[in-house]
Amino acid sequence: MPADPQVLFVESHDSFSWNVIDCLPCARERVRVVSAAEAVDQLPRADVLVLGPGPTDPLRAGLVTLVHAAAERRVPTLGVCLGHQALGLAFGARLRRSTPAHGKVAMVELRASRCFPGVTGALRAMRYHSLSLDDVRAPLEVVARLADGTVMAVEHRELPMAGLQFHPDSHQTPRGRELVTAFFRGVGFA
Amino acid sequence: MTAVELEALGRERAFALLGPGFGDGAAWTLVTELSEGDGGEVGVWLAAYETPGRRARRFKGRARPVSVGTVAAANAGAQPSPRAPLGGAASSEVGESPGGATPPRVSLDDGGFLDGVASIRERIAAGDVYQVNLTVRARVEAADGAALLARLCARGEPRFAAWVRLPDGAELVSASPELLFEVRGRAIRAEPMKGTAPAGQRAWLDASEKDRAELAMITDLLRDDLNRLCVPRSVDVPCARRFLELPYAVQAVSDVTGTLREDVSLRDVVGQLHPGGSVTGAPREAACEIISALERTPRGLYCGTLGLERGGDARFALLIRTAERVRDGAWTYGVGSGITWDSDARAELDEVRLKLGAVA
Repeated sequence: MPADPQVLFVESHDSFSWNVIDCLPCARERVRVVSAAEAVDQLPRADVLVLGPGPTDPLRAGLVTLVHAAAERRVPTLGVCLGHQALGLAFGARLRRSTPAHGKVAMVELRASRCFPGVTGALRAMRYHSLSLDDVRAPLEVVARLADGTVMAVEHRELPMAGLQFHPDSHQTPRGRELVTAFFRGVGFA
Repeated sequence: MTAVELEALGRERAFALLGPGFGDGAAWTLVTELSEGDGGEVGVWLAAYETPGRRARRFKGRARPVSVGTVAAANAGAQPSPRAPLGGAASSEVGESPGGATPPRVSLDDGGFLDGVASIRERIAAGDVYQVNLTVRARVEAADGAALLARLCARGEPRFAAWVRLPDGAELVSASPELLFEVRGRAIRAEPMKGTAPAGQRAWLDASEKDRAELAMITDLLRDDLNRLCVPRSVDVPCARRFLELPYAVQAVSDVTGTLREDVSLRDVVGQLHPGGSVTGAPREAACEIISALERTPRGLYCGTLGLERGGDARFALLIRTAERVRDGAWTYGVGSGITWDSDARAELDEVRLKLGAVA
């Protein structure tokens, strides 16, 4: 695999998308920014797929079928917020309304995972979400939660796919960049 | 020319003061601290809230430093009447005397505003939006721009004062506390503002989790704006929250900085940062759609931006605490409040009424 992967970034009408892009451990020229509708055709040329954050829900945003297409091609995929919820829905979890938390910092407990090697323990994390994954089941596993049990991160048991409910890109997630870099390392890009 | 004589005083706090008395009709004269007083040419940018930043109008002005201190001193007797209901007496006219008991006519009455808050909270619960700035506009009577600017300055000098008359007859006065952005060479700094408390209530504002969350959110939004324009990894938040002690209020701001890419023009910057995230909400696109559905009149120049440019440097104010003259000679004055899931509708209404007190 190339050391400098071609990244396909799916932009979903958000005001935090370019924060996520700036957080990626690769040159800006290696990131192609597309809408959900454009993304499927671009998948064959992508080394990594990043599903960005955004409003509404993954079905309305048109992301769930894209996750299935990426899984079929085994494209390493990182979902942030809305993208994380898309991974959940694509693999059998439920999405429910939770207490909205926008601009709120929480402590997230991250356990050892394949997709985020070397990053574990308590993490300060910025949240921007009203919906949360529930009933996460195989092939997904929960790798991070809040103290109240709210799911904060998932990964796929076999495929190189993971999701973060919180925002690694926020100025109030101090180890966010480290976490995203760990994902790229975890899926084979040093 | 108006009754108020504007004098050149300290440049420390004056930003821009554009007055008909300095102009020759077609062009206007600009007075700004950006100049060292040599009267050189500067660019003046103006965009209404509804105008895309890429289509902001650019004018030329002559620079001269002034202070609005004399305006404030001449009208020091003005007293706001804060808690009048919104549009409680739709048919009434507001008298000339500042502090009159008659409430101003507004674009949304109390019920409309409370319904708007409820609607936004439902959209937040559904995941459609994270925060929306809901505003109303009140109709106020004033003899002229000077009288209204004086009312806005009655409790002390604003950070960014402006009085603008356009060649097409449009007119605005502004006593804004908010910097949208400033550019020095390739360095850009934005200063999003979220959270207001009465003067002296800094400790209360500091402890408000709702206000803290709102500012964090708009700070991330401004980072996103700058990340679209700046050299990769150059965007930073040197200060996530500090307090501005203004004569009439305490406000919380953050500092977001970055280095603009060489291919980015000032028009690109205005195109991205306007309308300012603190007056839209987040995400901007969804918030703007909800605003246009809930607010019953256009915002116009209120929530727009006014900027000055000279020799590659620029400074843009966000046009809050701003009044715009409408066709029949009356003025409209806009006020608003950031609505989040944590909003208490009655408290938001009180905040809007308090802000209306500046001109009531």
